[in-house]
Amino acid sequence: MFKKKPSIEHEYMQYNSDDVIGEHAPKTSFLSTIIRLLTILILLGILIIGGVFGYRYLQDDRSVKVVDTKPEPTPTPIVKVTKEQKMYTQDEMQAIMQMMMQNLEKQPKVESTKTTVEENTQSKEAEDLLIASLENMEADFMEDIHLATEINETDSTKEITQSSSDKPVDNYNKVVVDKTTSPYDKVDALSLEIGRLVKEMEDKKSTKKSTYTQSITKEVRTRKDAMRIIIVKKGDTLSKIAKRAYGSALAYDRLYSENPDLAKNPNRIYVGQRLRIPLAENK
Amino acid sequence: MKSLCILLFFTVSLFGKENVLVKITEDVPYLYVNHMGQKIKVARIQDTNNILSDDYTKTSRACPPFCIHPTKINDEIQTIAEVEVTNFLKDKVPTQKGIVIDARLKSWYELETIPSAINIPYILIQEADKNMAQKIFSLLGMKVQKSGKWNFDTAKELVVFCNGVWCEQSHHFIEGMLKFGYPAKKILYYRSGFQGWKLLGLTTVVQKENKK
Repeated sequence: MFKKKPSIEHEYMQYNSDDVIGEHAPKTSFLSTIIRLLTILILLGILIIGGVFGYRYLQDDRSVKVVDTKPEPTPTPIVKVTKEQKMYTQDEMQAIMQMMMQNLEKQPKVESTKTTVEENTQSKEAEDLLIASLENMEADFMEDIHLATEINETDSTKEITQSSSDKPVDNYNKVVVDKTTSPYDKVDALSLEIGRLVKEMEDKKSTKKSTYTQSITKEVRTRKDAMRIIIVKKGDTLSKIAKRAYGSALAYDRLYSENPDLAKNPNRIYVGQRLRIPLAENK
Repeated sequence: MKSLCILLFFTVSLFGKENVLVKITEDVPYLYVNHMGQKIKVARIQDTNNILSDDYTKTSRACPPFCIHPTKINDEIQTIAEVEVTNFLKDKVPTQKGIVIDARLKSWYELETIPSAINIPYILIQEADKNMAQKIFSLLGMKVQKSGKWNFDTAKELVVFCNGVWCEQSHHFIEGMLKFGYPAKKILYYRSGFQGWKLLGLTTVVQKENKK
């Protein structure tokens, strides 16, 4: 390797001179071509892998919090302690005890709550203070739960990206199948044949339907019309909403049918806007 | 060439490594079935924070007709649950020994169904005459002997489901089948039905009409 160094330099000089490249090419050793090939391949590989992971990252973008019709649970406000609140039923006491136990497991948290509580209720008696601290613990405890779920969420997305080697299973886990007219296998042929029988029967007795059948067809209709309303949050885009609703950022056009304003101008969404999201597959 | 092989090996080992978090059962992470000529992976939703938010979350429908049904349809029909259904999909369906039957109306079936299921709406058998029953049964593998007797030896095993415990469409279907003499041993009733299937986050299929 080292002995060849001058020759490489020489080659370099040749490269920069006005020499024809073709003249220079055969001088490269077999080893160096292999090394070059390897580096090119590795770079290509890194590029591909990076691309794939980047794409997945974009697909599984979890930074958006899901907007639901459900209001977000807010931490309970600090309750002003009055003397009537001293009376606790057995159930309440039990609940407080449980919370106390859970908070004991998280020692640092408890200390911080106690200090804030002391600030709030300095003028109260010692007994009231204890009750107040217990009640405040409830609020903090709820916050803890929220934190825990957030952590879980990030964890779970990691696991998904790791595990999805086939098609990633989205949160709807629906596969859209094209209706075929030519049977693929025996079961398919059977299905088509039965479909034909059903059609025959429907044509024959289109008016006569039992009450049960009537009521369930009604149920199908309500399901087809079923909709969910979401409220647009800061940072939302149509594709983000479509990703939340249907699992694909490309499905935003499905929102147009129920939100005619959007179809006219898709860029006009604003915070607090209510969008109607149709659930069933559009036909 | 050697380097290419090594690179290939690395990429394969990187992506081929599979770690299914939410399996169907301990031994079966997922399975494959055919539905209308398409190979479909039946797996559960992998997001452990996922909750049902849209379909099949409705708690209340008027009873009657949407009443809660007992475990058994009658003494002869075996009632099964999801594990038996997935085993059925794995073992009986590919060998054509069994079929999963969606006994709901066609409109329900097209909206969403269990992969590999075929649709025989309960009204088809409920309102059938003997001739029609013979047609349906022979499609299901029954053979008509020379004497005119029906031979059910080669008839397929059926897993029948509808919308769930509050749905009586499979009841009507099974009653219709028994009325014309389909062997009760070959009918399995999946009581939790489609709602049970959805509740576990299992794969479903939606049919899209081909617009030409």
